[in-house]
Amino acid sequence: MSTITLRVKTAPGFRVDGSPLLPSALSALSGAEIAHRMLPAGNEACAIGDLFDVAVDTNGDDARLVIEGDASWLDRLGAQLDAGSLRVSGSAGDYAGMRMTGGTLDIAGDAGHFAGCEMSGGTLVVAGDCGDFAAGALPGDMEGMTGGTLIVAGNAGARLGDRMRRGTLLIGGDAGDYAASRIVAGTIGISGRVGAHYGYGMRRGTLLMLQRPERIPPTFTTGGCGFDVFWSLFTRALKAECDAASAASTAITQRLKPFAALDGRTPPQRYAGDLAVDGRGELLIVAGE
Amino acid sequence: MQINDTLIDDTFAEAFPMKATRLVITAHTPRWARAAADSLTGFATSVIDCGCEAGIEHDIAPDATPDGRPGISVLIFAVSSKELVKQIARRVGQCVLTCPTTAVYNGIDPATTRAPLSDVAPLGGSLRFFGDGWQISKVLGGVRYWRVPVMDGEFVCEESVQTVKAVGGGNLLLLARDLDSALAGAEAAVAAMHRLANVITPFPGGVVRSGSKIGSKYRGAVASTNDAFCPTLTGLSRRSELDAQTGCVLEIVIDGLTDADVGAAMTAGIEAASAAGKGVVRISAGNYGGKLGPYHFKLRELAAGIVQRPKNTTDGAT
Repeated sequence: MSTITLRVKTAPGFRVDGSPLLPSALSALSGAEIAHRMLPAGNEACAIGDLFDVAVDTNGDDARLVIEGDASWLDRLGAQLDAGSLRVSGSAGDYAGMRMTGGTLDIAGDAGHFAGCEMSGGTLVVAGDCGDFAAGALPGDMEGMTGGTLIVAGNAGARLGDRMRRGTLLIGGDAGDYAASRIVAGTIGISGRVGAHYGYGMRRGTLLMLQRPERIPPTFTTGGCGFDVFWSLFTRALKAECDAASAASTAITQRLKPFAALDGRTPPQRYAGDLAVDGRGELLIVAGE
Repeated sequence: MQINDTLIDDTFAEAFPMKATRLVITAHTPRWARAAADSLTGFATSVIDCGCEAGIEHDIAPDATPDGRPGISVLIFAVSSKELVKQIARRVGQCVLTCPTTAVYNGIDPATTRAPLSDVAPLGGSLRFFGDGWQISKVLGGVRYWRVPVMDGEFVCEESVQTVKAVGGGNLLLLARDLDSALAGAEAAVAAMHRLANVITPFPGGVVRSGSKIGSKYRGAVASTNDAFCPTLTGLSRRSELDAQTGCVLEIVIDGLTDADVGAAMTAGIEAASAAGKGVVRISAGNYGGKLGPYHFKLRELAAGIVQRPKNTTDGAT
């Protein structure tokens, strides 16, 4: 196996499809072969060698791909990622980690819209902010994220986790409007503030909020008590997720601390809803005041 | 072969493949975890008529359970995967779901268990229907849990439990001069075995007095009394193996997750029973000529490593 390093030469000034840049696909190739690979860019295509300086180190145990520099012009980075590690030292474009099934995608900067959309496995860590529809469904599709872990240390845009079905999504900062909209199931944790209409159309699943929102949506009702065992399991699982993610990317440790430090012996306030749909979702609000 | 005053017969215990699983039951206090475990492992002495053999393995400290509460681990053995599935669902449904504050988890880690893996049996997968539509599933750390609303809050259980190919029917026959020494030897042996993981002794107090042989003079009875070891039949039964010195025989049956576990428990039992001394004159084992069960636990091989102790220091608690 090998570590492939792609250093951005200059931003091309147009969008480029980065989905062929998968560690498992490129690990068997030499530096020259990688440089000659083409990346789709609209109706055109451009060679990897024209966009990046390519360096290959064959000493590593596992397949690793590192993109150095700002790659916010590079869309679909880590799309369909199934194994290995892909790291971006700057920002990534839209659709980062789309439909990934395994491996690790680590973005040190920001991610665009649709980060981790429809992902079903693996771990996607965004140390900065991300755009709208993170972990959501593509337009017309019925299911968003169905597995794996997506961690955004900064803020998330609107429609966070739209139509999400399984998996864990943790936001270290604030979330935009319609967070956890139409989620079928799964876990979303938001450390900061949430925008309007959170939990809209929530069928099942858990929306954990570490700051008390301004108002509880009228379609949610009190969720009672007696879920101590679940809360204990839940906080332990969150701590394990945070520890694993922090081990891979120390930059986010501080932002994840509120999730890792939750007290498993003190259950939070719970509300059940959205009653307009199935009504078996839950809002867990840790901050009491 | 002799250890202290106890003769070890040149024979073997014959054991059989079984299907088994471990459940971890937690509760608000140790008392309620044990109440559920006692209930779940009740009427589970022999697969002949109970459907399964079950017993408490050991208590678990709060820091070692999935939810941080006091726990207890239970092993269940059955003759087939199908029967095991049935027994798990029935027993957990009636004895753990019903018990205040309890939760139940899979206790077999497929990554670390030394026993060969068998099927995955449903746990919450079937119990969740008690929730009548109010139940919630939750996947945490790759494990699916079910949360079933009950009157004290929520009954939490794992979706499924891993089952393994295990070993059942390891046994020791303790032949003693009288009832008191037989009981003392058996109690010491059971206590020694219970210090080990991965094994249970399913009979009451770990000891069985009605050792059985296969078959009967009566049609329809699959098992009947083991007349070879009944002290009242020494002059009557042609198969009798007892002499005039033997006034009482007790048997310990051991089920374990692997043959090594059963063997280790038998070694511990032999050591404790022979060290209890003063009364256990012989240790033998039950077998069927070696034709039925694939596992043969030869007593003298198991006892080979036991260190002889001076007679005046044996107290049975070593």
